[in-house]
Amino acid sequence: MSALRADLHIHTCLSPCAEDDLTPATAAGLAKLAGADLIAVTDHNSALSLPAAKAACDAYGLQLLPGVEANTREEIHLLCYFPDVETALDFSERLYRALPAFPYDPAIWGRQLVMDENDQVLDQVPKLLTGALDLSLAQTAALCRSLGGIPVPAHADADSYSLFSVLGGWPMDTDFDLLEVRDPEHAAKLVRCGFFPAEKPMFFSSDAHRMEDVACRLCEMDEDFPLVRLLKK
Amino acid sequence: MTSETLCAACGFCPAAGDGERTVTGVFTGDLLSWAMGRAKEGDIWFTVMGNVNTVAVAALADCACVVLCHEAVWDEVAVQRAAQQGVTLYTTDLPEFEASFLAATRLGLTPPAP
Repeated sequence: MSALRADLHIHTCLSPCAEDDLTPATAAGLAKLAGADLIAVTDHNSALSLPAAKAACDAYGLQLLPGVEANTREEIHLLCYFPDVETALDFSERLYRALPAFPYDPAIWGRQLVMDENDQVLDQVPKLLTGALDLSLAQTAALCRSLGGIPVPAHADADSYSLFSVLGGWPMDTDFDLLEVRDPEHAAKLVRCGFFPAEKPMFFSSDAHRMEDVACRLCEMDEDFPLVRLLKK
Repeated sequence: MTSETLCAACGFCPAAGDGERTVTGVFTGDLLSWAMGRAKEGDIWFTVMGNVNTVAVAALADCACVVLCHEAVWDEVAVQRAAQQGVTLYTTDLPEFEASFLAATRLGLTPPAP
């Protein structure tokens, strides 16, 4: 079997910072058009777009890796991937309890729309989803693993909300098997300088918040890649 | 002035270390990638980042001590690592600006020229 073309970091209209038009069904359709075989919908601290994303991916003949982009207490973004939507929803419920009840005004932050696969609004989430959880990076990673998921530091080389920007490099109290990076060249430089360990497989994604960015770059993954294997479980 | 004398005068609570290092300056900030190149030897460092990596950066920069502000809590691993590496840690309920201002006043630091 040939390698899968994957975009494993896509936001939808559930994320307040993403376009309202970027519904789960639209994200799946755009990814299919861009030539993706496998996508992950990963909204901030929530899995509530995943049921619609799963239905849309099934309809388009795309594989969906269920995910959530958690924002830890340190304000590090951690992609948490799960073998099925139900487990991701369970994780998401636990995160919601650990979210601060920060005053949230959709007019300022953006709406947080829960959609069905036909682009109908089912609900709006009342607590701001982009807040930092009352869970540390190590605790969030442990919770993800306890549910059978794989935690992956998001855009680990980026200037904000990343392992590098917040912790100055690799965490000393927890470990990760994989890294998502924004700029593979910059990430390679960070490895050479000793900020990140050398042996960790890296992949890149779109981190799309707008329609035009969905699957704007695709990373090739073979069947042995840990996140592809997670899907096969 | 030693960390112990300064922090006792400011009402900061000891969390690890002996506080014997002399404080010569103040650094305030939370992102460790920024602190790595900017915190100086002898600084008392004010932050809300209670992660063990803060201890490693403080050791590398040779800071006198680190004060965790805003009622934030040191991770257990951070306290253990600080004890191993001889890094002195404190906590305070004060916000970072107030805690930094208090320490700078006690140290007799003057404001930078505009």
